[in-house]
Amino acid sequence: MNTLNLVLAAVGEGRIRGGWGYVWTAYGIAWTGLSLYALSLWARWPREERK
Amino acid sequence: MRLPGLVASTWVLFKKDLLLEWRSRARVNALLFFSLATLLLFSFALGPDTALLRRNAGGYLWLALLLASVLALGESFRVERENATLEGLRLVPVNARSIFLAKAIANAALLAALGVLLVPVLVALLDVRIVLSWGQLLTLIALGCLAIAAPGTLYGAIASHARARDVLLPLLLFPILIPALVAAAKGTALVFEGDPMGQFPSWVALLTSFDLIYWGLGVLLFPRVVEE
Amino acid sequence: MSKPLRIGFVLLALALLVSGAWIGLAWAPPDREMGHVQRIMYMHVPSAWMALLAATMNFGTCVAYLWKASWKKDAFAEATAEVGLLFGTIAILLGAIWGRPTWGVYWAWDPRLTTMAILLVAYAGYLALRRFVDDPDRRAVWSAVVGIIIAVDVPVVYFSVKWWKSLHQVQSTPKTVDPQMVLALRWNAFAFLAVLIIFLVARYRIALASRMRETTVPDAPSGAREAVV
Repeated sequence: MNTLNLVLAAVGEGRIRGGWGYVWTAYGIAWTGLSLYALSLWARWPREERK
Repeated sequence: MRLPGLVASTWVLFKKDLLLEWRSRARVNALLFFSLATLLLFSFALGPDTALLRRNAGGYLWLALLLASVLALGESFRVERENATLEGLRLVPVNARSIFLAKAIANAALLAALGVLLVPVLVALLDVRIVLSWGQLLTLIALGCLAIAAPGTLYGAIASHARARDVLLPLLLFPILIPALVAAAKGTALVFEGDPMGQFPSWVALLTSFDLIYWGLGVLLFPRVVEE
Repeated sequence: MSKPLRIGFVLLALALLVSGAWIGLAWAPPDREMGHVQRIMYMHVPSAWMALLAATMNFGTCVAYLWKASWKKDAFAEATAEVGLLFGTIAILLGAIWGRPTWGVYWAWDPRLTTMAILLVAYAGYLALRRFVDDPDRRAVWSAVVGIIIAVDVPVVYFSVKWWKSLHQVQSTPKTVDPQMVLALRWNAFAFLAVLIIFLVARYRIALASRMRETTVPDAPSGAREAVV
């Protein structure tokens, strides 16, 4: 019964355990990339439009 | 412009381009020695395991041709630019499509000649054997050089009028040519190693589609590139 | 578009992004095989979609420009190329991070990845071309030509997964995927679409202003004469 519980627990989480490091790296890169680009757009904004 | 006119003017321009290349044989010789040097570089950098070198010989051939093509294409348009001959040709109302076809075919012919000359070098340097037929090898060389020449001539015309033209041409050209490079290199590898699974025709098909698409685009778009 | 509407749209995009992140990170279930690593897909797939969308728009704009030239079209082409490159780079980076725990490698030489990488390098070349040509007219025409040539790769990227059954997964259909995951993906896709629109509009305005600066010719006594758009 013990092994069955272990197997069921494993299947519940997926064969790859954890992996949050990868997830945070990925989301971090995406958000950083988008933010930096947004910043570059603001920096390049045509001067006449700025208050 | 009607087809007979197009063919006639293309032929005249093609002969002019070939004559120019013949007159500057030194340049062609330099290209040949450059390609040889490239092959030597590959052999030294990736040798001395002869079995490995022989397996990759197809790739080396096409890499050498690709690198040589950048020089050849650059030269091809430098001559025009230095003598303002493109503008001169446009003043005589020559169809820009003829200019493209003549230049591209001439460039393809030059590269194909280079390719054919490099095969015995490969045989000598890398212990390569032609397991399939010479006909198949020549077909690949022809199709592959046509693949390089079409976008190469188009981009060569653009780059020759831009800044940093020596960097711009390869930067524009290489990504576009990757599918053709893969097909040509893989096909050549099959010629040298044998083709037990009959994959050769599919690489030829890929190269042919590539050629049709990019020559079509070249003929279509070149007039816009050289218009004033 | 009026100022409050613009600000409203930006806030909407931010709201979608933040809520999408929560949905993807906390609400959606872990995958049966991949576990939590699956969550990367909620950023990777929308990025890839936006990149291809931008590439398609670039192609359409280039053709339209060659048909009838205008600075607006040239400016929009510049915007789609740059923003497409951004989303494409994010997509490939996230794909690599996802690939490490699942395929075991950061990169594989399969058709989907190679054609996408080709596309990105090609657009980098497109942007380099624009930087190295000083004459605005020639820059616009040549960019349009190069954009069309690059566009040949786009359908290859999209269909490569179907044509060559290789390593990268075939597109899943919603019928076979957990509905919570479908929602997470769709929500984030809309979030990314909102961001794409904002970036494109902003980048377009920057490009158009630059074009106007380059092409306005001041008349001798009486000030600036507007260039024809």
